Amino acid sequence: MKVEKSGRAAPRLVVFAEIFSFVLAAGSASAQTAQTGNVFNPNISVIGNALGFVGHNPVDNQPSLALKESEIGLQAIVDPFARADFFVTFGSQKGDVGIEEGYITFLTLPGDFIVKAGKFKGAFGKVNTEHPHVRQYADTPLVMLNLLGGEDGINDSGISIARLIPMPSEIFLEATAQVFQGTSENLFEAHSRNDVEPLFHLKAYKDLSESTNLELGGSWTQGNGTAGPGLHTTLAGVDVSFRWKPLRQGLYRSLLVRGEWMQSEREMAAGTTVRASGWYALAQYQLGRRWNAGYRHDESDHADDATLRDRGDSAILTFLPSEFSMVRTQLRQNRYAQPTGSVTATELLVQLQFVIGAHGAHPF
Amino acid sequence: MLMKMNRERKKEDLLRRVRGAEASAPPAPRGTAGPASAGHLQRNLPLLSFSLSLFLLLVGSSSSALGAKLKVVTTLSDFASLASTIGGDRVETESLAKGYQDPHFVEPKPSFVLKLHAADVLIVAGLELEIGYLPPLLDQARNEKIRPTGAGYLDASAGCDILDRPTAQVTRAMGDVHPYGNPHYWLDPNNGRVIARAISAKLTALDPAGAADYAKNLADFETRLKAGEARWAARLAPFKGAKIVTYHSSWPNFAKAFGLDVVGFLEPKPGIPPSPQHKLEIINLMNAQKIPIILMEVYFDRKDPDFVASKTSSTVVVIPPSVGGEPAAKDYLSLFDVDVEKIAAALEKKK
Repeated sequence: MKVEKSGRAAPRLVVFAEIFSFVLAAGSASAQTAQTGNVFNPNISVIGNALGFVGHNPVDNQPSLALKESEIGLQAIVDPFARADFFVTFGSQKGDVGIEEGYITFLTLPGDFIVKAGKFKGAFGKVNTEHPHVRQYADTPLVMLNLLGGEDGINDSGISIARLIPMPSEIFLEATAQVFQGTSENLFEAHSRNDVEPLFHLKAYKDLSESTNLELGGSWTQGNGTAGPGLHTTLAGVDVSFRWKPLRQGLYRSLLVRGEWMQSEREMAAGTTVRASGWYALAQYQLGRRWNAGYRHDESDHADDATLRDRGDSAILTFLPSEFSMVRTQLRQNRYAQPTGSVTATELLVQLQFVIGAHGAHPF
Repeated sequence: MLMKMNRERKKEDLLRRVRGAEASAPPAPRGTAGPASAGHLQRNLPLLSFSLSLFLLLVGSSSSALGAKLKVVTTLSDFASLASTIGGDRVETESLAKGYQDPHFVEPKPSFVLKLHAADVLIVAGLELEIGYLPPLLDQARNEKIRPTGAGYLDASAGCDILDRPTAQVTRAMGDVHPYGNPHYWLDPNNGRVIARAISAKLTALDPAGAADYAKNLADFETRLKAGEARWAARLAPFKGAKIVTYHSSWPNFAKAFGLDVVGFLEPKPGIPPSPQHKLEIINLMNAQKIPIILMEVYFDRKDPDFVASKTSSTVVVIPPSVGGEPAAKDYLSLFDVDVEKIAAALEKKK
């Protein structure tokens, strides 16, 4: 649709102009009174995420206060067969703009398949798939920073196929196979077109009762690592989530317990393979209609040196004035293992988050 | 092309892993494993997940075997009750939300995806009541029939008397307002009649063989509904025009149908819990106007209503807003029997 600007593809321009004038003519003929121009615009939402740090951290030095991320979501139905979702993010630095995700989803394929294509977060475990604003904490767990390359994790251009697997006794089972181009920051780097990254994910879910449920996930992926061409990085992960929400008091009480474990194998330039692992465990209890308290423990080896293991603990308190805004404080102590010795950083994180525009789905 | 390359790559991976399994070397020391024994991960989890995923992706059979009965899934228990009354033994009904659950805050559980996947009919309240959970579930359900464009989709609000339609521009400064009107419209028995007819028409369209059954069941229901309306009107007749306060704005249709006058809400704005200042205002209002009852849905916390009641001469009346909200409200008609009786009994005592 950049035809107007470039103008170099002359025949195409003519075709576009014809379509355009046809649409104009059709529009003016059928809808002279109604303003139909905006009807098919996507749903727009903007999420602001401001994050402040108090305390000293020599290893991961974040600014005292920043509008860390602003996300614009544009979501709409494409045609009778598909929907599209775009999430554009802006960081606090100048020029810090990116497509966090942008993909088309085909929803009405035969054989119970759902196919997704574009750029999206890889279906690896839980935390990698979550946008920062739906997390139960203000930061990123150490295991993701250390083993998945950083805050962005596995986020790449690719194709995803997901299928429901029929199971007895109302067990939800979904198998997902994805193929990515093979480049995720600090994690995978494709040097040739053969360096694609396959990813497999299996998700099982069961309602234990009307107020409790259990979810299990298994993930595996492999791609060309950052150490050089032909040197692979392999990741495997397991996640478990238990939820409790008594329906009658669902507005006031709920509990989420989640654990996620990952292992990374990086083939290094020296001919060795570093096997590193890490995990986090999280509990969040809802104290009242607008209050949540949480705790998270973090542990993770360094992906390129498994003799170094970082650890951390966080206590989290969240206040939600409404469905559309949130204030969170997180008292965090991270104990970083450095080649020169251990470094302890105790910080207070303060997060302010708000959303305007279209009403999104409730997090689950 | 990409797929082909990937397939070759997978084959290579598979071969490599199989070779790794044959080697079955003892685990090397942590973090220093050489390339020859790097297969710890590649031997177990990946092979399992890879082959399992592939197997399941390709082999798993579709569960679209059509049963004899129409499967009707509803978001609200009230629609499930009406559908099972009209459908009789030709349908199976199931509601996603329970009657004692706040219908705004239903969670999008994967188990609901399974129910929607198997459904032939989906009945929703519309007016964006389900906006927080239904859209992602429908996207996951892999069932075109019950998408809003599908033949099995029924928006129950069509043709109903919808109140509180905003006339000026809405903003979220007004709280969690519904821009298309108040979604608690099923609490007017006449809207129940409209919904029952719509359900009968939908079931008839999807299952013409049952047309006679559906027509008969609908006629029976309308007869009983008419008797119910007379009974409820008579029970509440002495209290016509009675002023009440409700917790959330769930009751405008109910109040209109039975001649009650809702003069205030415990929530300062829809979805915002009572603030101390607002509670004070409500206490003053209730004392000034001698308001006898506070109507509260079963899923709210009693603390605030009880506090307001203790500062006024009013009573808190906890009533189910939906079928199943308490055991006695077992279907659409008995829901009104329960609600009307509780309100009438409370107002009687205050007279």
